[in-house]
Amino acid sequence: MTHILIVEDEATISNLLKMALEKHGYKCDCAFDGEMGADMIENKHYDLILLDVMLPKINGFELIEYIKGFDIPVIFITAKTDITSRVKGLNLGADDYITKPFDITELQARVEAVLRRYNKTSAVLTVNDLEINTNSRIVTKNGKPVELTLKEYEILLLFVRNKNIALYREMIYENVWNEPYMGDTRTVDLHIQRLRKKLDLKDNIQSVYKVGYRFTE
Amino acid sequence: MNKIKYALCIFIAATVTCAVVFLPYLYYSSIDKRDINNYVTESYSFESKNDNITSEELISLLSSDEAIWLESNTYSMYYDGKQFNDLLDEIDSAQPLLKSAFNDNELANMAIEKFYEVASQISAYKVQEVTVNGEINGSPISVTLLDVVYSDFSENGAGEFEILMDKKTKIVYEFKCTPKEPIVQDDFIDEHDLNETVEQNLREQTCFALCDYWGIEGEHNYNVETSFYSFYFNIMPLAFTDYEFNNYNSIMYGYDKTDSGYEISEKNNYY
Amino acid sequence: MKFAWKIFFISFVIIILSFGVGGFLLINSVFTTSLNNKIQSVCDSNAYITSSLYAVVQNTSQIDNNEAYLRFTISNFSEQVNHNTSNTTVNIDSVDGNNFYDKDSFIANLQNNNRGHVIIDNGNKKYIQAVSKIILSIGDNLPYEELYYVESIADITDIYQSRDSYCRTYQIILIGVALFASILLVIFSHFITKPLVRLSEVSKEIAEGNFSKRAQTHKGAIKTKEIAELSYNFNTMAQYVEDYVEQLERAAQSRDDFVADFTHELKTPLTSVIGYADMLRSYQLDDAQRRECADFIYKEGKRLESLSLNLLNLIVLKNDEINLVSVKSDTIISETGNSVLFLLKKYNIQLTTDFEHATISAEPSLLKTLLYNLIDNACKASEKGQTIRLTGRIKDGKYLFSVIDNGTGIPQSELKKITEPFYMVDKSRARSMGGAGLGLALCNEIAKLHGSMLNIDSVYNKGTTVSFTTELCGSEEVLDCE
Repeated sequence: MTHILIVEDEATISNLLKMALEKHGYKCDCAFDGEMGADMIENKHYDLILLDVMLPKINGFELIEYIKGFDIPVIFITAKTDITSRVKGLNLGADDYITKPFDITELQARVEAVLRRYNKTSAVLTVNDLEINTNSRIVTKNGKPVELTLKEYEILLLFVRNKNIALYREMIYENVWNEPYMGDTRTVDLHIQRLRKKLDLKDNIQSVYKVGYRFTE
Repeated sequence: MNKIKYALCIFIAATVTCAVVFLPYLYYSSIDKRDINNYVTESYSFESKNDNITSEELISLLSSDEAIWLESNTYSMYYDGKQFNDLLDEIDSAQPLLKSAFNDNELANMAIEKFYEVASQISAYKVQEVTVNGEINGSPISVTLLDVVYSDFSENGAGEFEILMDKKTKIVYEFKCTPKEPIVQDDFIDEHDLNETVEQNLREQTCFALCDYWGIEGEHNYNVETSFYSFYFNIMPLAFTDYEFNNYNSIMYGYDKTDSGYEISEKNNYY
Repeated sequence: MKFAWKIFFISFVIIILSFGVGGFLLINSVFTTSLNNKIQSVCDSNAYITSSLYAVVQNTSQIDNNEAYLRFTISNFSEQVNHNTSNTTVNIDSVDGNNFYDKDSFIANLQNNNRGHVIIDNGNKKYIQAVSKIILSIGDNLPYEELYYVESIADITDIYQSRDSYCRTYQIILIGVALFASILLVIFSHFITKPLVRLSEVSKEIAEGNFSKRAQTHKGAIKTKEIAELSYNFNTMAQYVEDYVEQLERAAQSRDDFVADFTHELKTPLTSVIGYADMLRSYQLDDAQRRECADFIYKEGKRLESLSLNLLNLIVLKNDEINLVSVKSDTIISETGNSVLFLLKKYNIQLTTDFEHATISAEPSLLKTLLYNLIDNACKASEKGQTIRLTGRIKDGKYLFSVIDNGTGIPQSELKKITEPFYMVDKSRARSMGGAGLGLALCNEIAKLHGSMLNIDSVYNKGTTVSFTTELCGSEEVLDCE
């Protein structure tokens, strides 16, 4: 179980983050000011901290100095988009910096990326009879390796990391192809069809009407 | 760019300075070449005006510094000869005008009388005809004056007497009467104590009289010396003084009686 | 080029030229006058002598047909003349003799009864030679006449020498003047332009952004009125520039702040709306969770609405003019009381009113909005069961409205800033109540439109009084009201 601390003074956002991340299987705690956050870090072990900059009592930039001692990865979440703040944040030792408004999927992806860097996640993802080794990029079904194209692999990874979540076609396209989604294209569908065939995931990959696809276990 | 401007300005300043410093030199080098050996000629003409000369013109000529006094004729005249008597007459002809000029001047009158008294007794004179040459209003003028001189202060001599006069107008321009005895009588001397005021008065009287006589203004240069022992006046232009100074050696005085007769004795007289 | 050097060069050239040309003209004038005078005098003398010669020849009877006597007379004459004139030599000679210095045959070419003069230069000395050709008549026998030259020669070397020596002196003096003047002018020109140089340096510094620099007006040896005035005026201008720049900077700053604050205030509700909506569409949620999401979306959406409306009002008000009408204070107070009933119930607060009757000049709906907002703030600051007072008084010729509460109060340090848009003293509390910090800014604008400003008195933890004034519509001020 991965424990994440959310230090954010806006209750609505804090709640949003908690809801979203818990949906991804993380355990979350919320702190509403810097002092409270410091106390909670002291008393409990956390694998990651989501830190807002504009906090009452002790602000985010000050708090991160304190957190450094605990060797916990930190992602800044803030409305301050100016480059000075971002650079400052990163220079102070944050692992990532995300600005409001944010996309929760993106946030989740970044959280996972940071956790991965810290080896808080396993390199091997297991779903049913599938095993995905993210280090070697080898996918095995029932122990037998399956040949996948790069795009197919990325799509599979995206599904496995976002189980039970409806993934919009645009989102899939932009994440995997790294281009803006231009509308009427069947590329995504084609790739997913092939993936389904190769891994026999007919039941697992479901299409969501007018939206995209969902991966269920 | 700036450096060029500065250099240019310095150059201009230096050039101006040099130009101005050498300006006179350059200017005169060219001017002198032009002026020197540049002839200017003009024509002239004049008419003789010897005949009708007014007294003012005569006076101005005589008192002019530029007039050239020349002796034209020098001769000695001595006792015994028709010419001598003519000369005496000539001298005498000036007396009336003189007398009338100085009519209320006792000393002058006495001097004049004395002069003519002695003149008739003198045996020999040096006579000169002096021409005064010059220009009046562009016309050449030459006037001849008669200069008669006697000078002998020796034992036998009578003193010094001179008269310079215009033969035509009979006006005397130099008059010297310096006899060996005083001009005036003794009783005159007793009556008039000779002091400065008296002398001054006499002098002034003479001056005024001369001015009328010659018809000149008071500022003219002329010389007057009056005392009991001598009476002298002279219209005194510079030119005449110069002439006199250069002609000393032609003063003669008296004659000596020798065995063969009368001989003119010429002695230089410096006074 | 530097101004000082310009002055130097121009002055120097002027001085040198004036001096030089002036000096030269002087020398030349002296020279020409002396020379011409001398020439004139020599020629006049020559003419006189010629006339005299003619006269004497005419008058000398002995000359009659006696050539020898003529020559004798002439020689006499010549001798006498030379005695008279010391620095001029007069030679009189017959034309046949002709042993005069005759450059270019000037003398030989003289016509009868002509005279001429020329300046001769024989290397070391210069002379004036004036020659007259004269016809002297001898008599009625042959030869009737003789032609003679009367020559006057005067040495004029000294005139030229004087001139040359003056020129040399002039040159030396001029060089001296040039050196002396240069030194003095360099010093003088730099001295005189020093204040200008300093002024220019100061203006350069100001141009580079150092707006607080000023020119010196006290020191400086050249206390010329114009320069002192210039420095003084320059400083005035610099001060104005500095103030204006400051003003602009502050204006720009406040604008930037406004935009930053606005964007910031916007982002949070947007993030919520987007985030919760995304959750709704993507995740599988149970009913409770779905309701929670929807609830948040609604709340934040509402917040955005209030924020944008308030902002819009603020902008509109800033740019708008309102129509003031005359209205009774009773009307305003009672209608406001009605509009806040819901608020009072929600926060469980009592409202008491205490006002004087008067007719005021106001925009009724704006004024009511203002009072509504103030009461709303007072409610938010107070605790349940407390009382808020709304008062109206005639004071100093105006009508004074006040909203008084016994709530949290505002710390002294924050008082100045609370009317700034987006400023919130207690962010979390304000946000939790749906505020974005625009309320007081809006109120302040409304107050400004009524000819006044919000006056806020507060003691932390004790209470707050917010007041403002409107114009009275008495019988004297009929013009202002409709």
